[in-house]
Amino acid sequence: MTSKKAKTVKTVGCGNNTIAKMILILSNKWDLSADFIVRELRQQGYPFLRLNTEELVSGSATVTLPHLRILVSKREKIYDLTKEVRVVWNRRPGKPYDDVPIESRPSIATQRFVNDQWYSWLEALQLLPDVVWINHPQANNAMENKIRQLWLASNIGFQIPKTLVSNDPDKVRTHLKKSGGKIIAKALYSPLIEEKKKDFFIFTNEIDNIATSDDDQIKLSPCIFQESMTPKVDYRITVIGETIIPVKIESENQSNGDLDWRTQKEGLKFTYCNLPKEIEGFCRRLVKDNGLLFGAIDLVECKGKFVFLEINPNGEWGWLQKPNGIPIAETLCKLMITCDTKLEK
Amino acid sequence: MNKPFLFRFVKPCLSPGRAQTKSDYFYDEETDLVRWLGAADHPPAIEIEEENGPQTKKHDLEKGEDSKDRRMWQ
Repeated sequence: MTSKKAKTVKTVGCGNNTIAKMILILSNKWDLSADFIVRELRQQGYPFLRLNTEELVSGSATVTLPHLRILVSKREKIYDLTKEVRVVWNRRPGKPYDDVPIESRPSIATQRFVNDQWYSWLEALQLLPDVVWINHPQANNAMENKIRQLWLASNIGFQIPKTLVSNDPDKVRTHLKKSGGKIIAKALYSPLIEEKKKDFFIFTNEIDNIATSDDDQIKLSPCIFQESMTPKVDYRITVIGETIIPVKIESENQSNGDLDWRTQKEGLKFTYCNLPKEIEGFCRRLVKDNGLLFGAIDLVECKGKFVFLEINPNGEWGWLQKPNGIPIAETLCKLMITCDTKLEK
Repeated sequence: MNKPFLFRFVKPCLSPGRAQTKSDYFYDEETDLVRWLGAADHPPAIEIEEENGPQTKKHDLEKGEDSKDRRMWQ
């Protein structure tokens, strides 16, 4: 753990307020993972500003040029982000209508317009001088692409499942045949479907047949078809800077054969574990070489080998922290403070 | 028009919005923490045993709940 010894912070005048250098948290107010960080930073007496960006509409947010200044208000205070921020935790920025009941929101077109304006405004934060991002939005977005992830992981040395990403039914059928008559299918991009009255989600599924009547549906959008990795043991590896936090995911009910452990609500055990040094090194490299400081990697152990499935560059971790005591918030805070302190020197 | 192939596997989520904000929680502007109204001292949601605080969509489906749902903003 980082020493709780108070850090000497430089203070700068800002409007009528005097504020210290700080860590900027970009999130939304219902993000409980951010609460873990807030609590930790407060316990350490470290200055931070939590911006729940869905609430920017009720305050003031200004960029001035040519002398760049980025100013935001929160609770009657004005913060000059250009001068006061050295570390940005790009967590879960909220959108303007997130907290507005669906029936009270304007048209989709209006929502999109407003969202886009705010998105562009927030992009300007990338101009903040001498700032460390966890993670930088561009690096983060690039790594969200599942094809890219698999390619990069394979280049580093990870074993990956034999993968086909296609909308070609014949190629999928050939892949299925070569894979022993069983493959998994999963979404290439967000598996969330937001309908007007209800949302839907698509987990990973196993398929053993592609009928000709499926062809038009397959052609409609490409998806990921991979050799099935079963039987398997799942691992979630959280990489924070140079620190690796590997967790083994075990089911009390091994017989149910769930492909996607996330669908199993009960009977899961998450235990801190050790990985082979080579695999740890691959995890570190995948994050570091691609400009990230944080990444949540999903691996499986299948037939004695560790196989990379995917990386969530801004993956969720609160579910590991609270009930299982995995010290992710503490490690993340330590990284933020270390980055901040380095920049101060 | 056909639906995409993967739509045959869809599972409905419980909550329609990004956040299912429970009425027994509130965001405390002073401390920047979500707090629970169920106790007199309004403890932070992250400190309540057996309470997970307000949950986001998919929470009825998914153990490793991810509030991201989309990329950072889109």
